[in-house]
Amino acid sequence: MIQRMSHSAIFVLDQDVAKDFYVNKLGFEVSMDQSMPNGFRWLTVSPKGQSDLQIILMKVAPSPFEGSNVQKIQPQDVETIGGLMKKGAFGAGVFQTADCRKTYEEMKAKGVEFLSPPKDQFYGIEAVFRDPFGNWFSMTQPKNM
Amino acid sequence: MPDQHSSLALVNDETFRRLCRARDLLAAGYQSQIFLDAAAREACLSLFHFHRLFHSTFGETPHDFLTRRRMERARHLLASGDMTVTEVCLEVGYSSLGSFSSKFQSIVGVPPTHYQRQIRRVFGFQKPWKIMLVPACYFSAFGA
Repeated sequence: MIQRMSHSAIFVLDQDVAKDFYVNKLGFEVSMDQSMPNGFRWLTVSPKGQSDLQIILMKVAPSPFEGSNVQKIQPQDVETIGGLMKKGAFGAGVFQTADCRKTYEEMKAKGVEFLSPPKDQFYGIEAVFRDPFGNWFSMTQPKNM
Repeated sequence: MPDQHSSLALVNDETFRRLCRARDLLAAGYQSQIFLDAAAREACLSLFHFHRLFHSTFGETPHDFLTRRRMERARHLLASGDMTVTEVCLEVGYSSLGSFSSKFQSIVGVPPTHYQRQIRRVFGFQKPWKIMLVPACYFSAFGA
């Protein structure tokens, strides 16, 4: 039986840029940052209050393996995916905050780009921001319902 | 977007920051006998409130967090091959080998000596080396 989710992936185009954004701007902690000899880099971060969930910052990359039924990612696919990301095709999830308006001001001061400022919704106060690649997130201060 | 029911409480920003600082202090102090009241002081909370808020924010008690960090550190030290079980026990802040070993076993599943033997057999005793805790599926899909 599946008991919980331990890792979730956010696809990025550059892991150094991603690490700087998620750690220095969003305040997440690095759980693992290991590079393999072949260049593959396993980089995971967690929000400070949720160390049991690891967010994999996975680089979109061509897949070099041959000899399988499954079609592999080609170099031109990486460009296509990057373009779709920039257009906002990927909303990777919802983050929770105890104070949406305050956190919005702090993040803006650090240069985080918001698609929507804090707005009152029936479920709480919600702002929407994006990472450097176009992945966008809701940041919600939930209302007790 | 629909509200997600959260099982953990949200504390206000300033309290969250203080709890994170206290947690960092606990994490850094696993080697020495860092007392939980020093961490509570860092959070500017009474020991009772610190315990309660830490648990409701991070999902585990400060003591459990400290123990978990010590055992993670112990696993890395045992795997790196330089230290004996006794040395690792002292390094992570336990003065009694018996309590260290039984706590290690209850968390990791095997006694520390057994763990050290297993790890050395799997990875070989060579340094420098790192345990690559990378899921094979991601590595085979995106690695080379």
